[in-house]
Amino acid sequence: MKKKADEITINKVIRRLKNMPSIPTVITKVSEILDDPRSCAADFGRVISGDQALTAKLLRLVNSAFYGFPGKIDTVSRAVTIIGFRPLRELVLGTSILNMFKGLGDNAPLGVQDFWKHSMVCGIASRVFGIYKREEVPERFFVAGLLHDIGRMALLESCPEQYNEVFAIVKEESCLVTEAETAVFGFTHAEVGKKLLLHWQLPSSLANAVGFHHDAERPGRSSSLADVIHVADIITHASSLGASGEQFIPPLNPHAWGRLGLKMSILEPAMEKIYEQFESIADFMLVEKQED
Amino acid sequence: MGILNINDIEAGMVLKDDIINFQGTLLLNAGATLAEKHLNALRAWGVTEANVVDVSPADLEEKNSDLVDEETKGRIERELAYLFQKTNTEDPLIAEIYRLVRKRRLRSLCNEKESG
Ligand SMILES: [Fe+2]
Ligand SMILES: [Fe+2]
Repeated sequence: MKKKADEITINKVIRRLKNMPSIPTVITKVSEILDDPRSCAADFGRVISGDQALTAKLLRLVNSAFYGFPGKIDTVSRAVTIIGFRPLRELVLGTSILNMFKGLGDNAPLGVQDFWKHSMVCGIASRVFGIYKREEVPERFFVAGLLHDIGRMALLESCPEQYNEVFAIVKEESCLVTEAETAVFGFTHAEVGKKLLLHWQLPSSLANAVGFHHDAERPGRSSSLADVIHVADIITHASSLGASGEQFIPPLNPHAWGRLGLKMSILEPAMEKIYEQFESIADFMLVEKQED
Repeated sequence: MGILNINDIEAGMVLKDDIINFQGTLLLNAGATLAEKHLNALRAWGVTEANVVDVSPADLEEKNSDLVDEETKGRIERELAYLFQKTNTEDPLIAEIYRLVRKRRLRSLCNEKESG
């Protein structure tokens, strides 16, 4: 395979995303509140309530099987008390970024709806593993899983012609999409995702995890966040819910699962939870089709 | 006997071991015959599996597998072989994912048959 479009760089891909809004102000404000030790649940509620669609989604999420609380949580400040600031900030981040991509991918050979199903399932799976690992804020894993393939959306959006070439190579050679990306661009969606998240000034731990989510052979460059989304992505492909553009389950990094220190017996209940949670949140979390 | 997933346990099965929740509280005694109400309660308590007498996961997989004709089984195997061709199926994690996905496909076919 020969590299064909060597004039394209990751920075160019990102610059070409003209339609891409910058990171929503609500996320910046929420982060400011988090950094301010004097802030309280009411401050958080005030910032969020400016965005009614976001508020509604958040409340449906905290009342779904995603959390499985028995009672009803009907205000954002109540949600803060029960779930906590940091988990909610992550949920705001994930939901807002999903929304930013509303208009994208309509022309892509990959359905935007299927793409978001893939992202959602990977986010849910990552969080389920985060919970089994007793992570303090498993919602961080949810966001990482949700965004792991965002670089592919960016590539499809900014370089549609080259991306058609990618799919043509895949068809011809039955190779992985990631391999064809490298052949055409000289880099993959994982690296684009990493740069994009850094460009939005999101945490480097998140950006790095996204950047390494297909690195099967580089044991030294990992984190539990990267290992979790790597395994979650494989399970998501195996579940056949949604589509990432990749028709095969990507190769497994043989070290990732061992590093997580989870027992094999959790896999079956974990997968049950993933399917159950996906069914309970997919309908309202998925990006609505934009009205023409 | 064997540890079964809560979704595979049916009313009438007998518990081999006590069911204890994560705080150490005894929920059900070994020897209890499970009724539908017990199964609902176990689900509500977040219990995901239990050890039962006389049925093993392998029996169950065979039972589900028997309900599906050879042709359909062959089709499932082929679809999965296609999906898994670029990853290492010798790896224990991948082998377990393969088993679970296959089981789920068989189960959903059986449920379709039972309900219609
Ligand atoms: Fe990916
Ligand atoms: Fe993916």
